[in-house]
Amino acid sequence: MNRSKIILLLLPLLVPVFGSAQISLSIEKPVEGENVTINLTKPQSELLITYRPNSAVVRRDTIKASSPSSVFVWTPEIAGVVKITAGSDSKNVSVHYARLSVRGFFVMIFAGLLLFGGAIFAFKTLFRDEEEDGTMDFDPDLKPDT
Amino acid sequence: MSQPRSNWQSKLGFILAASGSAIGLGNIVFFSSNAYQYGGGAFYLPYFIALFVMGLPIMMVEFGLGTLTGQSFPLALGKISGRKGEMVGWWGIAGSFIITMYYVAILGWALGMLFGTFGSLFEPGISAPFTPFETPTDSVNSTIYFFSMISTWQPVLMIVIIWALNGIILRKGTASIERAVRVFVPLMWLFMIGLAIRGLTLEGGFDGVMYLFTPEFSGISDPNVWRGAFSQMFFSLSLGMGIMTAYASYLPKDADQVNNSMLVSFLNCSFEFIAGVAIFSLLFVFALNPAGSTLSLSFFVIPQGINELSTLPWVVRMFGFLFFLLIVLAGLTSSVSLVEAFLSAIIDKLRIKRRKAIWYVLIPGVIGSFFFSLPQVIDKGLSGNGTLGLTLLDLMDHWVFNYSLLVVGLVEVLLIGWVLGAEKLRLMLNENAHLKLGKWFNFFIKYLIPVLLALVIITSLIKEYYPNGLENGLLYGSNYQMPGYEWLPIFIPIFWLVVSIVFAVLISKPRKETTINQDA
Repeated sequence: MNRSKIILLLLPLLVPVFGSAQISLSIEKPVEGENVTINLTKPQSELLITYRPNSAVVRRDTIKASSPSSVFVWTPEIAGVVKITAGSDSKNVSVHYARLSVRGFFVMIFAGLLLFGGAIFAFKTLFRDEEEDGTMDFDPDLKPDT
Repeated sequence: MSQPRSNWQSKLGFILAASGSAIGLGNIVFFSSNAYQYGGGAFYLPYFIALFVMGLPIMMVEFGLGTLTGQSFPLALGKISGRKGEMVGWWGIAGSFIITMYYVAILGWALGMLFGTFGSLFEPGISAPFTPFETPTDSVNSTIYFFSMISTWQPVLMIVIIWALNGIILRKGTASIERAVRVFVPLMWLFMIGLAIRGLTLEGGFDGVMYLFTPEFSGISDPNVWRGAFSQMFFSLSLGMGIMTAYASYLPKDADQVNNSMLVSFLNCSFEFIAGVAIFSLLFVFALNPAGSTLSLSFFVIPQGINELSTLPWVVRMFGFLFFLLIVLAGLTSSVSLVEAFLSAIIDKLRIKRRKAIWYVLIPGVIGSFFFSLPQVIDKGLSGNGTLGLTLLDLMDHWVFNYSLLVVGLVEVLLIGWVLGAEKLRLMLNENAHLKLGKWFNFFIKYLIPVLLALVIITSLIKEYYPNGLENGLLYGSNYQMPGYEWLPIFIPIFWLVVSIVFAVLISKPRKETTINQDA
C-alpha cells in the first residue's frame, strides 16, 4: 500500500514531451560536457535550461543571444532530465552521462546490498531451525475461521 | 461460545501475505517520484533513517500487538488500554476502510486500462469530454484515454469485479489468502524484474539508473524531504491501518516478530529499489519526467513510455498489459489486506461467521467505491480532477491518508509505550527473536517516534493551510473550478470526521463476551 495522491501535476509536464516540434537538437542523445546545437523554428533572444524540472533541487540556466536567433549552442553541465524552454515552447531531453557516475554506482551498490542483504539475512533466519517441510508449529485443531 | 482463530499454514505464506500487503501501487511509482524530486540517491539518506528509526520499530509494535493479544487491531488496542484505546482502533479501521473504497476504485481504473491495452489505449484518435481533450488526438495519449474512461460508467463494472475478487480471496480467511498470495506475489516480482530488464536493455537505460542513484545533496536540508521520507515509509509499510496486527494475530505466539518485521520491510524496500530501476530507466530513455503522483505516473506517464518501447503494436500492447496486470496484482494483495483488517475486526467484535461478515464489508464497500467512480463531469476545464468520482477520491485521500493513519500510528505507539509499557513488549518480542532488541527500542517507542510522528502531523497541517506562507491560507481543493460543487472541499473532511467518529463510538460499545479467544 501506499499513498495515491491525486494531483494532475503531470498534465502540463506532458506538453513539452508531446508538443515540442518547435525545438530540435543536433544530436538525439546529448551528453554532459559536450556541445549540442539547439534549433528553433521561431527566433528567440534567450533559452531557459531547467535541470531536473519539477523537483526540489531544480537548477536553471539561461543562454542569451545578442539578437534573436534560431540557433543556440548549449553545453549540458549535468546529466539527467532537462527542460529546454524557448518562448512559449518547451521540450524535455535526457542528457546522458559522459562516463559511469561513480557516486551513483556506489549508492546503488550500497542500497542494494543493504536492502537485498537484509532480506536474505532475514529469510535465512526465518527458516533457521525450521522443520524440513517448512510448516510452522501450529495447533492442528485451529481451522480457518469460516 | 468462542470460535477457534484461524492460523497461517506456513511462515512463507504469512511473509508473502504481509509483504504483498505492503507492496502496492505506490511502491511501483512513489519511491521513484520522491527520489527524482528530492535529489536521486541523496533521498536514500532520509529514506534509510526513516526505515530504521520509524518503519521497523512500528512494524514490530504492530506485529507484537497481534501476537500478544491474538486479536484484530481495535480489540488489541482495547485489550491493553480499555474502551478509549478500542475506539481509536475503530477510528483507524474506519479510515482504512474508506481508503479501501477508493483504492478499489483506482484498481477498477487500472483494470479498465488493462482491458484498454486490447482496445484503443495505444491508438490515436482519442478524445474526452473536457475542454483540453475535446479534439481527437493524432497520436497515442494515455492521459486522454484515462479521462475518457473515467467519464463513463465502465469503471463501475470494474469495481464490482475487484470487490468480487476480494470476496473470493477472503472467503476462507488465511487459507484462501495464502493460496492467492503464493501466486500473486511471485508474479509481481517477476513482472517488475522483467520491466527492469527491459528498461536496462534500452539504449541509455543504464544512464537512467545512474540518474536515480547519483546523489544531489543540495535538497537534503529541506525539511520537506525529511517529512516526505518519514510519511512515505509509514504509508509504504501499511502502518497505522490495523493490517499488520490482523495478519500477526493469525501467527503462533512463538513467532519471531523482530525477524518478520525485518523481512517484510526489506522485501518492501527491495521491491521499491527494483521498481525505481525499471521506472527511471524507462522514463529517462524517453525524457519523461518521473515527478508526480501515484495516479499520474501509473496512468499517464508510464503508459506513454511503454508506447515508445517498440514500433510493433503487439509488443507495446503486451508490455502495457503486463504493466497494468502488475498494478492490479499489487493492488489486489494490498486491498485484500485492507479488507481483512476490517473483516477480522468485525468478526472478533460481533462474533459472527466470516461468510456473513464478508457481506457486512462487501456491500458498503461496493457502495463506497461506486461514489468514487461517479463519471459526472463537474470540472470541464480540469482545474482539479474533472469528474465527481475523482474529485471525491482526491479530497478524501488528502484528509484520510495524510492524517488518519499518522494519528492512529501516534496513538498506537503512545499506548504501547506508556500504557502497556515498551519494556514489556520488548521482552515479549525478545523471547522468540534471534536478533534481540536493546533498550534503545524503549526510547524509540516512548519518545523518539511519537515526537517524529507529531512533527510530521503538525508540519503537514501547517503546510496544509499555508502552502505559500502564512498570508495565503487555503483549504485543500478550494481552488478547483466546480460550479455547483464548491462545497465539497469543506464537506468532505467534516463528513469523514463525523462518520468515522460516530462509527468508532458506536461499535466500541461493550458487548457481552467481546473477546472471542482470550488465549489465542
